[in-house]
Amino acid sequence: MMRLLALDTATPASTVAVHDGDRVLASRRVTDASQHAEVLAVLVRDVLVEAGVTMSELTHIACGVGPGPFTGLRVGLATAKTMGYALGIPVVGICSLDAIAREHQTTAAEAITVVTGARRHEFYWASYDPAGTRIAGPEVAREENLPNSGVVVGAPTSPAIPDAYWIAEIAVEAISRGEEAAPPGAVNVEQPAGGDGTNTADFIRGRTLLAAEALYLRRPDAVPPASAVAATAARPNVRLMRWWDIDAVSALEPQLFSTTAWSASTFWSELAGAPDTRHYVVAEEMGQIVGYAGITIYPPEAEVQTIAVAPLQQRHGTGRALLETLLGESVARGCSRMLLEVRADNAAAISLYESFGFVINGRRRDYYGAGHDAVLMQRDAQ
Amino acid sequence: MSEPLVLGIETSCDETGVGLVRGTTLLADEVASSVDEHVRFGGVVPEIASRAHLEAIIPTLERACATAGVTLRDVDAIAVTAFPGLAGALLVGVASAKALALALGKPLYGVSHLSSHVAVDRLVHGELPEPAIAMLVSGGHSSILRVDDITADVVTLGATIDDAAGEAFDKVARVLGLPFPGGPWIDRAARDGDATYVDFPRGLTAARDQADHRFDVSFSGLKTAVARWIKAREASGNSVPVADVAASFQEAVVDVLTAKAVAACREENISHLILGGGVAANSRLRAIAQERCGAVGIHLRVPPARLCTDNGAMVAAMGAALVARGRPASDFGLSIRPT
Repeated sequence: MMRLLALDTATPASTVAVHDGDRVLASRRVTDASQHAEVLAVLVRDVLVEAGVTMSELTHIACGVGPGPFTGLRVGLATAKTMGYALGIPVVGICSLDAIAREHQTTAAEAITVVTGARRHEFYWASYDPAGTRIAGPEVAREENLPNSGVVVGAPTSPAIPDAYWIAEIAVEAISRGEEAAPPGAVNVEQPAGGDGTNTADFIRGRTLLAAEALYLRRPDAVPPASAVAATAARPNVRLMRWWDIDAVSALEPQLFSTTAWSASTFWSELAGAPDTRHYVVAEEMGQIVGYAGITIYPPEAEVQTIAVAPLQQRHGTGRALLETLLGESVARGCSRMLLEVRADNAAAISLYESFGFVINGRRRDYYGAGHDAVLMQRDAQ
Repeated sequence: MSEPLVLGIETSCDETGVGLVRGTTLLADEVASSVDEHVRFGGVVPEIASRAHLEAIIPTLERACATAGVTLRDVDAIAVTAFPGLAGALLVGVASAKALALALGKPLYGVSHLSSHVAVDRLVHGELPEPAIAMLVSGGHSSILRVDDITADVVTLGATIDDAAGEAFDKVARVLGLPFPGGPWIDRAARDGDATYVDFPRGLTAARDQADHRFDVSFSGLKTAVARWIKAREASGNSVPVADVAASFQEAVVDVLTAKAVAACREENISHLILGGGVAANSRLRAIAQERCGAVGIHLRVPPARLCTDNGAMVAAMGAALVARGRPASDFGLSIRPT
């Protein structure tokens, strides 16, 4: 039996509803732009009590994903995603403007344009045909550039706000008719400087069920200062490892890997395999070796043998630079898959690998000694 | 019966941290950092940090559970940093923590980021000595606290009146052409430098400041002095000795911090000092603090460097202390209190 929790925080309102597949059992809305974080959890608790639904009975969560001012929007998304994860139930996104359009859909078969507040004298808008299908937007625009065809819901002086009641209705209908949620990615749609969000609008066109990720129509405002850009340029150079690097590399090895450190002779034998089945590189900064890494190459698979970054260099992009180089080499050599293993407690490394598209596909118990498992990760070329 | 399992969430700045602690035992400490994205801006950008928290929170929760070998169902309480910090960043952690507490039917504890930096030492050196003086030095904070009861009674004796110590490290690193974050780079560069090369000013140590700013610190003047010195040096056509300037700057910071912390211990008649915060990872600070505490019989406790920076373990450690002492849980209306 379906029990869907809907919520939205994309506008000054925090709103929550529970739907049983046939109808909305309970819904609430509190409008206070500075109180999303305070009221949302309380609303969820109270609406569930009113609906007579327990947490463990929930089967779906639907979350308004904006567009909307980011701070409030993220309260709803963090809540929905975390609850969905904790309960082990799916979380879908609904464009918040769709809910407003749906609420105001008239029987007179008119087109509708929805306008919500975007702060900084700008507004989010989307237009819908008489059947309720989104045909333009969501985009962000100044007042003078807002479309004014058809029925306009939400004037710039009184922007519209959605109700989770309609988030729930839309989500239940789409789920019931078997619509698949849009793939994730809207959150990363590149917005040109000063762009209006049309790239995102294109990404979600024709979709009702979206991934649970924010529809960011603007880029962050931050601009790198010139001096910081120069600091980034201080990233290390990555070059091939040669036999004369072995002394420096073997000196770093025990500092980084203690009991499992490789000896100089291991490096000699590894380099003997290059370039046929081995590719080893070092990262240098100010003439000093600050990291090194290597792979075995047996197409279609390459496997990372080691990635090492000197302690004071960690988290400065050295590991990233090394991994980029190895990935580039493996692809150039016809490998479509890269494998590696990493200590399960090395969160920094795991998160670095994940950012390159590696996924965990196994675990070796006590691989690095009692209590220290290895996590196996794999990355397949798209 | 085993002690309660507490999950801690930290999102006050640029690290998304999730820790799992049972009693004083650390089971997992997973951190996803957006620091790489901040590198090109030379500092933490709140909007980028908030976006990153939202994307990192579920994977970080997953990893923490996997590392600890537990499921969320095993968790007995949820702790979360509620203050101080960047508003948009705190909101993500607090919303997630409330969602977990609601979904799992477990109590929620909103905790102080500063107290958590002190509480993390429970995981390394056992229950905290109380009363103790704690000095927290990081990119966002520089505070001297009197801790009579970490779960209830923490009084701020002094704090920075302008920049945090870590901020000064970042800014000085930038003028020296070293990358962000500046702390580890200055620490490393300073090892080959002469700390007496330039006698940089020690803020708020003059006799006239002792009435109003006994335990306060100030790094803005120092930062400006370093920038001026470098400019003058360049104007005279000479190259800047990076290692010597880094060492001299670091010495000024460390000298003031340790002198004030030791003075606080002596005046409050307290024989325990606990260091915390990212700057407590600085090797010179640790060495001088040890030396000065040893000279006057103060017991110094410093967590290992990886627990000094922001992480979820410290929040879980703080939550576990609250649970152990039977403190009341927060309600679901819990507010954040940004910096």
